[in-house]
Amino acid sequence: MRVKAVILVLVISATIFSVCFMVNNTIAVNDDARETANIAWGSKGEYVRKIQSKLKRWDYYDGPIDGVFGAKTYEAVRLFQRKNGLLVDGVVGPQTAAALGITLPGTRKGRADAAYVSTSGVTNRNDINLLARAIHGEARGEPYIGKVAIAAVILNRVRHPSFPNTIAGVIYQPGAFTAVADGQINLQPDREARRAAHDALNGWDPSGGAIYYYNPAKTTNRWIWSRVVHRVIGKHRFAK
Amino acid sequence: MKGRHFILPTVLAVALIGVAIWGYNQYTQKQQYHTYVDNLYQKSFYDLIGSVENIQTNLSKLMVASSPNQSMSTLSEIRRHSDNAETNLAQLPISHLALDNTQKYLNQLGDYCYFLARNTGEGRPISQEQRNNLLKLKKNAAALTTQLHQLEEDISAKGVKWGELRQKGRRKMEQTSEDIVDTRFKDIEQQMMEYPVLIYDGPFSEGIERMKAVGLTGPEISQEEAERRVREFVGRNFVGEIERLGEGEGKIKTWNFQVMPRNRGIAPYNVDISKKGGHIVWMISSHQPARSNMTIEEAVKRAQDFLKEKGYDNMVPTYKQHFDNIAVVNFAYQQDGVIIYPDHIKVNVSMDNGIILGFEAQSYLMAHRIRDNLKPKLTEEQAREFVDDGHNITSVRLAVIPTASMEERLCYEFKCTLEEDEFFIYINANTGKEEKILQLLRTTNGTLAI
Repeated sequence: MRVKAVILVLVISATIFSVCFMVNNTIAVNDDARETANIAWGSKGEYVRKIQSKLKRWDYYDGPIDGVFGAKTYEAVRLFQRKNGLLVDGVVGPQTAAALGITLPGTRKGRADAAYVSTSGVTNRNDINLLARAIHGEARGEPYIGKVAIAAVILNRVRHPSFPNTIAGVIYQPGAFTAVADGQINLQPDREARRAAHDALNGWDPSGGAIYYYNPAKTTNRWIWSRVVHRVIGKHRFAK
Repeated sequence: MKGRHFILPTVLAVALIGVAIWGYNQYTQKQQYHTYVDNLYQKSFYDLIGSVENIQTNLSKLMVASSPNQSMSTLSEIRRHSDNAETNLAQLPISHLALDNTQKYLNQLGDYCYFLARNTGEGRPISQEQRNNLLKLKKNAAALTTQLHQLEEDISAKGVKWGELRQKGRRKMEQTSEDIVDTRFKDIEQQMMEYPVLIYDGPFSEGIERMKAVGLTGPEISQEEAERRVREFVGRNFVGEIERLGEGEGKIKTWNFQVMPRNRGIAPYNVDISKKGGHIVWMISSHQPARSNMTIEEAVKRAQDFLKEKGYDNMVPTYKQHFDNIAVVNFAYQQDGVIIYPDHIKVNVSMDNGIILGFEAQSYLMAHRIRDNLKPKLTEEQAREFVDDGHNITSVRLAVIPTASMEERLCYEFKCTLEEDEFFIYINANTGKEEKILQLLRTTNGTLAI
């Protein structure tokens, strides 16, 4: 029996890629917010910056957007409050913040997520399986680091702007891999191919950052010969 | 006897009819598959045209949008359409070498618009320089739209079949199909070469390609010296023979070695060592441990001792996993009590006898240096204000994390739980900005951070 597919710790570097594609969820302000941190003279940081940029855009404020709540910001807040029929106190509390269209720190406190359901069934087993099959189809009989290097080329392509952004997208791009075209990718991968997929996903890259590889005895593509070869492993040249 | 000479012709005739029916069935089936494949390609092609048109109109709208909300939704639309265009383009049966610039254009455009949308959300509207970039990018979108429309006309006028492009042309008609599409995409590629170099905070930023390895300190070393250091690193008593494999190019230039362990039962090790400074970049053995004799904690201890022995002090284990009797332990550098995630090293340990099977320090060598700005402006209490207290915070520490474009941010790392789920929430320790959220997924083999 095949060893069961195992699950991988994607370290920070590997996750940046996926994380940077996640869009931040905007969280609705709950009505029963219990306490809020007001922003007033002397406050500093991101929220002050937000308030300043809003006030500046609407011509209440002409100072720098420096994240420091000083005299100018205070005057601008008062002016804004007067014009908008709010209590004129120079303090950005919940009402003023809402009028400015921003959410204060702490206003989200005590949010009840009764409907929250825990995440289930998310793994990266599919990535490992697909990579292992690509390795098995493309590099059976190559030395171990040659296998890791092929998986690394696939991952380098995922991160490269000139290629698709997913492992499946890269592997199944028409004409990109012969093992896909002739169906060898559908063979059952062996233990070593799985191991190589793991190592490549964990960051090992014997290809030296390559995005192409070719077998000089087999390729008919003249263009590929013009690329800088980073490394020769077994029958393959790894190039960029 | 009479009539016997009819038997053979009859059998043959029946066989012939049988074969003809079978052949016709095969033929119609093949035609059906062809049509099906062709339709899939047509769908991709028309989706591509639609998305490129939408990119163009949204880029125009962006130029007249005055409110941040409108800008943000328009930017998100551009990102959605450029993702869609890129996916569909990559599915067309055209050599990826002929699509290099076009794919890069679409990926960077989407990435750039996502970056601008985030900025807008944080109160930093699109600057004049960024507007200029967008105007130039719009010119490319216009050219791409025109070219794709012309290709569409060619295709319907001359009966080009996408499916036939897949099998390199043998007959005349296939040859023309290929020529029409190839010529058109060559023109597109030419036009896509010209657009501004985009440096911004995103994974496809040109800034990433231009990064240098700042952790590579020390003078150039010779191959002899490299061999000596490799022997030292793998262990004098462990090494049987060392074979020189030559040199490697890339961001870190290397000398390459293969090491045969003295113990013949262990598979060879491959080791790459940097020419500059003689740092081990990575080491790997395909040795397959037969069983597990230790816990993951013991393996972590073993990996940590190994790093100390090799002079990597101040490395703390951050993540660990195990599969097939091998433990993989991830370490990050720690300076003044702050975890520096960009400087990370991975170590593979055999859970059979504790020997080290792998070492990977490329990221560490790319990023490592002594940081001089690790004093947070916000206190932990102030930073806590930015985390929803509906979450149960279980631990807090200071950490430096990489952004999408490999810049660094000093953050408070809050480990939180929500129902069964665990998260790391990173709050910028200077501004209070929520920089990143990672979800931790525990499995039997280790933790997945997504």
